[in-house]
Amino acid sequence: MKKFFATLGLSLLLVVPSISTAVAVAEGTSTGSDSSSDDSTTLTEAQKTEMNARLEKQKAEFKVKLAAAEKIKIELKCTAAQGLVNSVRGRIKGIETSRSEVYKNVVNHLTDLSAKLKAKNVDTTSLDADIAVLKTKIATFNTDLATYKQAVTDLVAVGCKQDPDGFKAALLAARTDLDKVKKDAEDVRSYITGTIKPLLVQIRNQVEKDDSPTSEGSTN
Amino acid sequence: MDDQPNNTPSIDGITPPAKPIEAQPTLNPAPDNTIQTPSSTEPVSPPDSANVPAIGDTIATDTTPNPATPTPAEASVPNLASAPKKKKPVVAIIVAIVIALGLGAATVFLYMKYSRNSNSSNTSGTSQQASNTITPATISDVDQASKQLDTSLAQADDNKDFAATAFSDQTLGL
Repeated sequence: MKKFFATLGLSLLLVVPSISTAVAVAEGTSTGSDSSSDDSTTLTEAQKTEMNARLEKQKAEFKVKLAAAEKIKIELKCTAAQGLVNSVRGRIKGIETSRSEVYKNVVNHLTDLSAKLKAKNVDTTSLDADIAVLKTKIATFNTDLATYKQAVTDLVAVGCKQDPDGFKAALLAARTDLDKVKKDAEDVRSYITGTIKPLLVQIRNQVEKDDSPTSEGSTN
Repeated sequence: MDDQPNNTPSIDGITPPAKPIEAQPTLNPAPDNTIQTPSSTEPVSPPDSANVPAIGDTIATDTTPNPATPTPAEASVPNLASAPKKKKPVVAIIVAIVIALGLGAATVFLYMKYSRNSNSSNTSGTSQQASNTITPATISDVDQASKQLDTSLAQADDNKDFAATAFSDQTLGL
């Protein structure tokens, strides 16, 4: 019986850490695979179908119908161009992360200030309305950024030699979406600097005004 | 009764073969009956020592096991004794694996549950703290908020992040 328990204990000592490690590693790789699949340009059949549908739509939208000479030119140079676009695609992910962090901080600062102003019985109706508008603009930016990201992904993934028209349409779509995202970002910035910051100046004056009678009263 | 085996009629005048006759001592119940069931009228007396060995001999020759070759019962005893000794480690290892699988799964489950709970409790805790410890705004709070907006916006460079030339024909070499 002693031998039985000795064997049992030894087996547990050996097996438990190995199984726990294996499960933990499996858990880690399963979560990691989700993020890696986002970077991959290898498309599934369903993704290819979706991409082709987008490309056809873009061809119609931008009325892409290349001449034979232009097709040959694209076929010769598009593979190298796709390599450059792929590096831009890598940078977009970083931009997405940093932008979302910046905008989140801005909204958090304003929301905290609004709460403090409410605690001081200062009217925050305008500030709350501006925060809501800002959130809408940020949401628009995020949506357009996702579209832009998709357009760039399509531009990298399209079989440019087989479908020069599709490559050209994806390129035009990427340019258009880039302009849109840039305008969204500028819109957010201008709204903060042109609307919210002046409002903060007004609020500061209000707070200063509210503070001055009490301070005068306390001195008298 | 003693005459019965000898009275079997011979077919075609040939005497029966020797085999049945040799088998008689074991098959013939006559000697056993005379010894084992004495008549009730006669007093019970110990069996004659001369008869007992004769009967015993016939029994002994049939039932006594040969010491050189073990009986099936004897052969099975060492098997029963040795079988658990061989199975014990295997059973222990199987039990250990089952327990380990259970422990491993429970550990991972608890870890995942704890990490999720800690995340949610941290976020809810900070929001609760924030709501509980809101101090009325001062001028410096407003100034600080304004500065933080400037700092945040300075971190994002629109022209760099969304350069219009990123997809120009010149940049891409088209």
